[in-house]
Amino acid sequence: MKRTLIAAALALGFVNAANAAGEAKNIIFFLGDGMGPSTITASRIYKYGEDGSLTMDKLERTARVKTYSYDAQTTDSAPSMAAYMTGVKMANEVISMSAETVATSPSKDANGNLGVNNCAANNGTAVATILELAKAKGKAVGSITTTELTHATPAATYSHICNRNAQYAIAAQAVPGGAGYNTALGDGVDVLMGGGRNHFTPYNATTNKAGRADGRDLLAELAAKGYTVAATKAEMAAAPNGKKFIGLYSSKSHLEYELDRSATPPVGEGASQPSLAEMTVKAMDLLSQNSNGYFLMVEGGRIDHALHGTNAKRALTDTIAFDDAVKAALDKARLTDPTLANTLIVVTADHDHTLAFNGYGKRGNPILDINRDYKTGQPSKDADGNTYTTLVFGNGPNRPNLRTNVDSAAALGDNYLQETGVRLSSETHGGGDVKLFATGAGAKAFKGTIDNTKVFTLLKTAFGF
Amino acid sequence: MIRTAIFTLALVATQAQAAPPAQAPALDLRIQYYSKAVTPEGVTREVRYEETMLRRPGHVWVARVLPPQAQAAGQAGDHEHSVHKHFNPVLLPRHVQQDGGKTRLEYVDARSKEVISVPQGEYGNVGFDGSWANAYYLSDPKLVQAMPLSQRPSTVPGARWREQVRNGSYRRVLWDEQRQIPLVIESGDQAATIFHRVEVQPQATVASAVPWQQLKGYAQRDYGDFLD
Repeated sequence: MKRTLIAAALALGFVNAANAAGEAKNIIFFLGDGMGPSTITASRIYKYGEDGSLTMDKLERTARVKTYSYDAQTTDSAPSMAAYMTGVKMANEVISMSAETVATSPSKDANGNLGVNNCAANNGTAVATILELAKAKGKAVGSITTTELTHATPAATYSHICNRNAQYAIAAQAVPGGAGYNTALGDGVDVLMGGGRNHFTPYNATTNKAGRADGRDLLAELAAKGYTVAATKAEMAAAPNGKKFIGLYSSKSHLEYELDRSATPPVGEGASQPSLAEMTVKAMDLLSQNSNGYFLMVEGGRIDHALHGTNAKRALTDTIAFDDAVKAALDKARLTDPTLANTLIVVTADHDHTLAFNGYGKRGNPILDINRDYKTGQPSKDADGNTYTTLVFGNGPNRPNLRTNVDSAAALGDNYLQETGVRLSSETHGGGDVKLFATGAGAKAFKGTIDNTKVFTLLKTAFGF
Repeated sequence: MIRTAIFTLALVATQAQAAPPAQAPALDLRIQYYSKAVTPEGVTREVRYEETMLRRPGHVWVARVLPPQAQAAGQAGDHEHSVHKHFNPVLLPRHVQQDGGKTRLEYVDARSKEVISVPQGEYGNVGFDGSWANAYYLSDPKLVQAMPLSQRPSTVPGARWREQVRNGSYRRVLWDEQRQIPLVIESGDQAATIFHRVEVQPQATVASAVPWQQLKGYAQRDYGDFLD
C-alpha cells in the first residue's frame, strides 16, 4: 500500500514536472475560422472517408471551447480570436482591447473607403497579446492568413483597435516607426502574410481605388525598415532568411479559395498565390532563425467565408488546405524536434457556423451529395417527396421559395449553395462550442470544456511567461 | 430561385462567353417569374415576382421590382441596426458587364452610394452562374437553337416555339428571332408537380439614360468586405 502511494506520488511528481511551465520554445497556433465540429467531420469524410482521419484528428490532446463574447451569445471573429490572444473577453467587433471597449465603426474617407478611424483615445485600453509577449521575450513572431492581413483574426495578434473594420488603421499598427505603430511589437512582427495590398498602398483613382487616403505606402516604409516585401509565391520562395518579411498575395481583398487557387486555370490572382501549407513552411523557415524560439499564428480564414455563403464545397476544400498546413508544420517541426519536446502545436476554431449534418445517409455516400438511405441506397425524401442534401445550414441565402428535388449533379457542383432553414442574405456564425486539438510541449494542459480566454492562459503557461 | 433554375437548365452554357451578335438589339424588359409546386400532401405553393432589365452592348442591368414599403425600408436594417455588414443581392440592382471577353459582376447600393464587385470565385454565393450569354439573352441562343421546333402556334410575328422533353421534364421557349430574346420560357415535369414560367415583355422604347453611367462618386467595395 505504502509502495503504491509512493509510486503514485512519484508519478504525480513526474506529471507535474512534465507540465512545468516554460517547456515550449516554439508555439504554432492554427486557427480555422468558423471551423465548427460539423465542418471538421464533413471535411474528414470529404477527403478521407468516414473511417479516415484529418491530421488535426491525430493530435493527442483535445478540448472543447466556449466561444461567447462579452456582449453576444454568438461571437464574431474579432473578440473570439482576441480572447485566444489576450485572455480577455471583449465585445463583438473589438480587437484586443479591454472588456469595456465600445465597438465604434469607422467612417468613409474622401474616396468612399472606410479610412476614418473613429476609435476615441479614451475608449478602452490595449491588452497584451501572446504575440507581443513572445516578442518581448526575444522570440521571433509571425502572423499569416488566407484573408486580408488586416482582417479580424490576424489583426487580433498584432493590433489593438475598437472596431475590426478600421483596416487602414490596423495596417498602420504593423509598420515600425510609422504614425499609428503599435510599439508593443518592438522592432516589428517578423513574418506577416496574407492578402489585401490596398490597405498598405496609396489610393489611386485608376489603379488602387480601395487604397489608403493618407497617401502612405506602408510597404515602402516596411522595406525601409529592412523587410523583404513579396507579392507572389515566387517572391516568397526567394525571400532570404535573416530579414523580416511581409508577403501580400492579392491586390485587394482575400486570397482565393483553395478550390479556385488550385483550379485549371487558377481563378483571379490564384496563379501567383501560395497555398497555406507553403506559407506555413516558409514562415517556420524564417522564424526558426531566432535561437530563442518563435510564436506563429496560422489562419485558414476562408473556411468561414464559404460557410457564410453556404457553399460547403469551398468550405470543405479550404478546411482540407488548412489541415494540410497543419501536416506540413508537424512534418517540418519534427525534422529538428522529433518528439516536439520544444514545440507546441494548437489547432482550433474561433466559432462555429450553422452547418448541420442530416441523416440517415449510407456510408460512402459523397458528403456533398443528396442524402441516400443507408439501407436501400435510394435518395432520401423530405415530407413533400423531394430529395435533400446531407449538409444543410440553419440559416443563409438559399431557402427556395418552392422546394423541389435537389439534383445530385447540381449538389456536387462547385457553386452549389446548401439549403437553409431560415432565409438570411448571409449565413451567421453559430454559438456552439468548438474543438481544440494540441500536441507537443505543454499540450497536456488542453483538456475539458474551457472558456476561450483560458486558451491564452495555457499558451502563456506553455511558454513559461 | 427561378432564375437560378433557368441558369441551371442552360447547363453547359455557363462557360460560353461569345460576344453578342451584332443583330441583338438593345432592349428594356419587364420580366415576370412564376412558379407552382403541388406536394404529395395536396398543398399547392405559388411564387411570383418581377424584374426589370436593361440590355445594352456590353451591359446588363437587372433590378427586382419591390413593393413601396420595401423601398422605404431599404437596407436600413442591415446597415444601421446590425453590427455586421451583410448585403442582400436580391434587393440590389445587378450589373453584369462584358469587357474584353471577360464577364464582370457588381451590385449597386444607391442608398449607401457603393458599387460592390463580386469576384468570380464568389459568383455562386450570389446566384450568378458566370454566363454572359445567359445574362444577356436570358437563355443561351446556341442552346435554344439546338432545341427542336414545336408545333405550338405563336401569336407573335417572328417568334417561334421550341420544345424539349427529357427524362419526364420539359422546357419550352418562345424565341423572338428579331429581338434575340425569349418571350416565354416554361419548364416543369410532365407529372405536373412543378411548373415554372418566365414571361418577358419588351418595352416599346429603350431608355437613353442608363444607370451604370450615373455612379460617379460611388465608393468601390468588394464582396469580401461583407464577410466577417
